[in-house]
Amino acid sequence: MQIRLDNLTKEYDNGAFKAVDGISLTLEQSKLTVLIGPSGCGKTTTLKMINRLIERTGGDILFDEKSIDDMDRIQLRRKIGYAIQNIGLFIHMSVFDNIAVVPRLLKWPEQKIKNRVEELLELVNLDPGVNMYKYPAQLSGGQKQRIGVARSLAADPDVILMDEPFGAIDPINREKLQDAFIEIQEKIKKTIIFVTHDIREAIKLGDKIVIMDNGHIVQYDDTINVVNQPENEFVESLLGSDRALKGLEMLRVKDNYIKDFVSINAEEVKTVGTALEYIQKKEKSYAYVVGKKGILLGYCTTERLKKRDKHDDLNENVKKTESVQPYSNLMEAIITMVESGLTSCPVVNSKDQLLGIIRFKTLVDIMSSFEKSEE
Amino acid sequence: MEFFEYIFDNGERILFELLRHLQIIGIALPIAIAIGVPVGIAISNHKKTANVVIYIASVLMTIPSLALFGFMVALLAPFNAGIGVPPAVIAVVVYSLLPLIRNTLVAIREVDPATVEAATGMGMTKTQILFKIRLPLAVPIIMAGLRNAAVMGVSVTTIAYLIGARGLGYFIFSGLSRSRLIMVLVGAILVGALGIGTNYGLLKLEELLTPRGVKLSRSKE
Repeated sequence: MQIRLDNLTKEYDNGAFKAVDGISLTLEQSKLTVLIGPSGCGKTTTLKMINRLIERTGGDILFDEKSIDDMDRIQLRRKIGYAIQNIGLFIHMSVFDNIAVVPRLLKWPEQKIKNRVEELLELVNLDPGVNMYKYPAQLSGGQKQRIGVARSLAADPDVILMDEPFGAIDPINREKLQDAFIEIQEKIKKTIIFVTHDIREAIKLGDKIVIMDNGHIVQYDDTINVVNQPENEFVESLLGSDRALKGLEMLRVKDNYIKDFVSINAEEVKTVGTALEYIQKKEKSYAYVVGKKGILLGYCTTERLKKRDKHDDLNENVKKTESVQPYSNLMEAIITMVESGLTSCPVVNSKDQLLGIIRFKTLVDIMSSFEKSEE
Repeated sequence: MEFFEYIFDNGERILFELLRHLQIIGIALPIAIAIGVPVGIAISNHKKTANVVIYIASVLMTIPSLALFGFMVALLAPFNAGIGVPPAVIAVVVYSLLPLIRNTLVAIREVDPATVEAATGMGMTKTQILFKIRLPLAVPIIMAGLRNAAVMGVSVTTIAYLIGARGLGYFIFSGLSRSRLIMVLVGAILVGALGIGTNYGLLKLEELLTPRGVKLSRSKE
């Protein structure tokens, strides 16, 4: 479903104050659009006008070119997913009943609802068997937030509105939730409108970013363009001085890693000597070592291998290393490299199988491209 | 010893008055709930009306019970209902209104706005929000009001003996007039036990009616 805001306005006190002042934009289908700006900029008001929690005073909102006035307010809301900052889980209902609210309002048959709830819990990485009949009081903050997201997806809406859904979570869990959420969106491809005041979150999650101030749109563009070409000083200050680094957070490992690299299979190469010979032949100073089914074991450096007897067991000379996954962002990859001291970082899938490596040089190239546009 | 002798000798009478006492409360409380809870819900959206209603209910509650019975004897006499069970029931209802209306009002109002916003945003109608969200969450507070009302009902009904409603007040007032202290003691103990028992019973009922999730989140706090 395509949503178009046409000269959308919200006035209070007979026009004395305009919370949203005639904004027009088309929200792209299947994309995640972030609304961001300082508090009072009108981002939340804009969001809530879309499901009519706040009634607009001027302009129009069109769903596939059909005016919001021609739709029943209650029916409209049941078709739009909604997740909010304080989660708003119903504490008297089990996880199951919370997620089932909208499907029940839509009178789905119970079996279909049950299948859907299980499917959604799997999607947000919560074991249905363990969690389905728990109550919100028995869940952690992060788990509640996941249920909030699952609930907004319950009736498979085309459009989802999210009002700082990860706002009340501690930074560490927030990162995890964001990563999980990116993966979910990759699968479901919904039209999502996401309000936040956290620029890092905006860059990390948004396909497109709408920057708002005083009820106006300051800039609306693809995230990469906003980071590369800020419209004016306001946007620059919002991005902050470290925007080259922030830029790394919006880029995914999956688009930047290489599959052509040197690795040693410990199933075949058993001794230090063979391994050393192999690495030197490839003119490298280290290589990743994989075991059964390509599972990453760690890495070994020529420096270390040279000090050993060539008949020594290779396994005893493999050093463990952290890794990243395809949906991690490049910032996480840099941190991993700094920790291991290597000039690359291994990329593994959820089963720990080595998929490829991401090179430090790639990251430097990307960062310098941001720096250039900054001048 | 004299005390138990009295109880054995008057077992039938005690049972009768106890049942009468319970009967008055048993009729009055459902009526009070039927009035108080809907009124509390109805005014929860209108602040001014709510203030007026709460004010009236508070005034009613400040009327001393003997005076209230006086009014009723005078006002209901033309309908041949000035004495006996009807005025006693009415009095218990009147005194129950404040705790029931007030607690319902507070409970409905104080549901977390984020919860209500989520429900609205998900497409629940106002009626659905009331029955599926607000009322289940309000159960413990409304039940606390009901317990308050019931315990007060036990004592008001005791005094209702004076306008011919019978009940456990018989032992206290008759005992006093006959200077039979054992009788007064039996009455006092029975009324006290009934008050405690009623409160306990309703607490158990509250536990039964309170949604599990609400209990869990309460015990966490």
